[in-house]
Amino acid sequence: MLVGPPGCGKTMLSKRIPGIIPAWEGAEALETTSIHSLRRPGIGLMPFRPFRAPHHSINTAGMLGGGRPVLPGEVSLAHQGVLFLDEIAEYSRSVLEGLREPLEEGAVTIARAGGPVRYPANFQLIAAMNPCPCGYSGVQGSTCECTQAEVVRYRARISGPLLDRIDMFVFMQPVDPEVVSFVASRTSDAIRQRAEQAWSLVKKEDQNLVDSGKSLEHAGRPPWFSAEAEEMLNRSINSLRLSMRGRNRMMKVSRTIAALNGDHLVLPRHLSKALQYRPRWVS
Amino acid sequence: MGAVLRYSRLNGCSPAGMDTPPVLIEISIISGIPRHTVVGLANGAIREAMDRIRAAIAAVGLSFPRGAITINLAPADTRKEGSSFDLPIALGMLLADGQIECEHDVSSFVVMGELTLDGGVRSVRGVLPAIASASAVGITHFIVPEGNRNEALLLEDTHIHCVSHLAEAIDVVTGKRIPERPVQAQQRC
Repeated sequence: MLVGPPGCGKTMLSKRIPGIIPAWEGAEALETTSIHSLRRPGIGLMPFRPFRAPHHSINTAGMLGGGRPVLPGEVSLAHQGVLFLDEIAEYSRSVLEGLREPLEEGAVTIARAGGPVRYPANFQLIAAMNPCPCGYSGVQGSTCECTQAEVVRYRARISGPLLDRIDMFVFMQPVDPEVVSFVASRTSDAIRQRAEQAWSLVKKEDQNLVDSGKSLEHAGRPPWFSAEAEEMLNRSINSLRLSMRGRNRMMKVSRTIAALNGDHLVLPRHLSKALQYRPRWVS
Repeated sequence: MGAVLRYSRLNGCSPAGMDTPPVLIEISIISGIPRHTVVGLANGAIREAMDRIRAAIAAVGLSFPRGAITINLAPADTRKEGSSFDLPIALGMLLADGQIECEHDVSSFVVMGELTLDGGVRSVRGVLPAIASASAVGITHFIVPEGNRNEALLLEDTHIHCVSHLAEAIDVVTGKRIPERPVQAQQRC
């Protein structure tokens, strides 16, 4: 979830995401192409992961799937790709709450009299919103002009359960004019390679675990999570009001941060960086 | 003295969901006052199909079978929808009526396609998931619209006939066309 004042680059950044996510393999492309062929007959094998950005006026059937015959919705068309919701607070309540199932299960099940229809929906959600109606709450160098009640009501549009399913909250500040004139220090290609390296590191580790007979869903501490980091996490659960789901998410985010640094073991410094991204409102 | 049994069967598919098994299509023609009935919870688009089929059959110079025609879409308690049943029903009717002789045993084929009034075959939704779920139950031969060629040739171990006209589909059934075999179709993107 990208939160920031108007014009700080939330939409621009989100649209760059397709250029840096790891490429996909044939089997994954086949599954998503299958889903798309239900909406677009005659489609060929999709060369890139989907990037879906439905307008916030979309209804539940369009987002989750439905109609007769029951066709896949945007969440399924974004399978193994990205679903970008700009101005997420403007989407209807039922559409946003309907996202809880695919975010948790990776699929949607649409009930019909003739039987349920299930479509895969394992997407990466990227959402963008302002911190408050005027857009400047918590922004350096600006004052927020909203009343406390207005801010609370605005933020309540994203329910607690939905927030709990979002991995990372990123607060963005306005762009410094001097920064704009810098030449980019990293190209999209370099960033994508870094992401691919981190991803293959994690995949290889998981494959080793599976090969040695261990399951990926641990009750206890997974081998890639250090004891010191676990201690730190347990201490933080109460003070930071993390749910169990939130705890698992923090472990996964810290693992990604470690992998981006080429580290196999998650240490407290990786975890503390991950904790900065936990879902919370900064005023 | 027994009446000649005018009967044929083949398979089609409804575009709903990812793992829907193929639909068995049976055609039975009995002597009697000409009528046609589609049973098996077929929706409006499928019941409208008969008018398209009538025109398409005339377009290839054959005649609409005379008699009481019953078309069954099995299993009988699930809803069938979509326009992809035109082509298999048309082929099934011509086979049952003896107007075309089948070289292959088409009862194991999955056929999909919407017909135009001049006998053309239009692309339909969901060809790729249909081929995937039919392959999973052992079906290897498919007749699909030419317009769905790109997605139809993505799965290995399948025999695909892409047709753009009812006449071409008839050629497939009478053995005059060879199928295409997708080879290593999944490329790394």
